[in-house]
Amino acid sequence: QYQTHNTAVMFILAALNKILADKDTKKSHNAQLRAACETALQEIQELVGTEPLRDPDTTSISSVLPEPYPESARLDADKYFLPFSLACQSKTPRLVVISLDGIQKLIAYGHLTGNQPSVSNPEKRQIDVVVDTVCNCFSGPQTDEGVQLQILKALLTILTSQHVEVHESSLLSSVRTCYNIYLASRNMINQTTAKATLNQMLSSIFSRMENKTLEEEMMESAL
Amino acid sequence: MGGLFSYFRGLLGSREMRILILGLDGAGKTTILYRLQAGEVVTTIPTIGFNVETVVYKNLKFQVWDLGGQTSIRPYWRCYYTNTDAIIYVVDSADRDRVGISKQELVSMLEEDELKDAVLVVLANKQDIEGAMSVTEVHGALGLDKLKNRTFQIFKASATKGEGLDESMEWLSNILQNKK
Ligand SMILES: Nc1nc2c(ncn2[C@@H]2O[C@H](COP(=O)(O)OP(=O)(O)OP(=O)(O)O)[C@@H](O)[C@H]2O)c(=O)[nH]1
Ligand SMILES: [Mg+2]
Ligand SMILES: [Mg+2]
Ligand SMILES: [Mg+2]
Ligand SMILES: [Mg+2]
Repeated sequence: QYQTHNTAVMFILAALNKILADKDTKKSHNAQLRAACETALQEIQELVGTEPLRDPDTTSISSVLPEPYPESARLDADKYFLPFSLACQSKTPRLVVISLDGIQKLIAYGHLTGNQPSVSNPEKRQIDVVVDTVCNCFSGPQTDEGVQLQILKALLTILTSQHVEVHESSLLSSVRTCYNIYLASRNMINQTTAKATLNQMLSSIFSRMENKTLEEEMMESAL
Repeated sequence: MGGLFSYFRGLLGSREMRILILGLDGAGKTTILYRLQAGEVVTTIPTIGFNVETVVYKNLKFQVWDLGGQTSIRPYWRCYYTNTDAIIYVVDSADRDRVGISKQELVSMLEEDELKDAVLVVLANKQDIEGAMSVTEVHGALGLDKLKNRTFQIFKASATKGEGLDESMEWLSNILQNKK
C-alpha cells in the first residue's frame, strides 16, 4: 500500500493543496478550479487508500519533487491535468506559477507524457493541449515576470524530455513563445533565460531531426 | 525610476541575489538545491533543462539556479552567466577520475568576463563516501591555490547528510551582504 505513495502522488497532492490554500482560489470566479482540485484530490486519495499520508519529514517521500518514473508505480498524471490547466488560466500569477512548476516537474520525471489523445479534444494529442496551456500563459509584455520564467522552464523541459514527443504546430508555438518572451520581456534575467532556452531547445530539435533523417536513410537502405 | 527603486530595495536588503550551482553531472547540484530550498533529500534525475528556486537564508533571498552538468549540456552554462552574484561549484569528491575535467570546466568558467565579480564557493561534496578526496585534496586538484582576484572559499559537504551547506551559506551570505 505504501508503495503507491512512492509515486508522484505526494507531489501532485502538495500542488493541489497549495492551489486550494490560495486565497484567490476561494473567490467565486475560481469555483471551477476549486471543484477540479477537490475532485482530483478525492480521486487520488481513493487511489492511495484511506490511510493518512505520512509526514514527509520522516520519510523519503517528497512533496517538493516527484519520484522518477519508472522506479515507482506510475501515476497517470495526464488524468489529473484539468486542475493544472484551470490554474494556468486563472488571473492569479501565484496560481499560474504553482501550476507551471508542477507541470514541468511532472514532465521531467516522466509522469506526464501527453502521448495519448486528449480527452477534451480527441483530434489532438494531450501533449498539444499541454503545450497550448503553457504557451497561453504568456499574454504579452505585461505578463507577470515569475510566470514568464516558469513558461521558459516548462517549455525547455517539454522539448528536451525523452518521455515526450512534440510535433509540428506545438513545436512551433513553443519556439515562438520563447522568442516572444525574449523580445517582450523587460526583465533582464528572463531575457537571458529566454535566449538560453531557445539555444538549447533549437539544438535539441535539430539533433532529433538529424537522428530521424539518419534513421530513415538507414531504413531505406535496408529495404 | 528603476534605478531609484533598486537603490531602496538594496537598502532594505531584499534584492534577490542570483546564484548558479554548477559542476559535472552527478556532482550533487540538484540534491543541494532542494536541500537548501526545502531541507529535503530528494530523488533526482539528471537535469536537462534548469531548476530555479527561491532560497531564503537568514532573511536574505537568493534565486538559485541549478543547471545540468552533462558534457552535452555544459556549453549552455555560459548563457546564464549575466548578473550572477555567486557560483556554487560542486565537486563529487569520490570521483577521482573526473576531477581533472571538473578543474578544466572550473578554470574556463572563471575566465569568463561576465563572471569576473562573482563570488565562488566550492563544495567538496560526497564526503560521506569512503575513500573520497579530502577537502585539501580537492583544493589541490582544482588548482585553487592559483586563483587570483577572486573571493572564494572551499567547504567539505555531504548533501545527502546535510553537512557543510549551512556553513557555506553562512559564509556566502556574509560576503554578499558586505559587497552590496
Ligand atoms: N553519497 C552521496 N551521494 C550524493 C551526495 N549528493 C548527491 N548524491 C547523489 O548523487 C547522485 C547525483 O545527484 P544529483 O543532485 O542529481 O547530481 P547533479 O549534479 O544535479 O547531476 P546533473 O543534473 O546530471 O548535472 C544522486 O544519486 C544523489 O543522491 C552526497 O553528498 N553523498
Ligand atoms: Mg538531477
Ligand atoms: Mg541536476
Ligand atoms: Mg520552481
Ligand atoms: Mg565532479
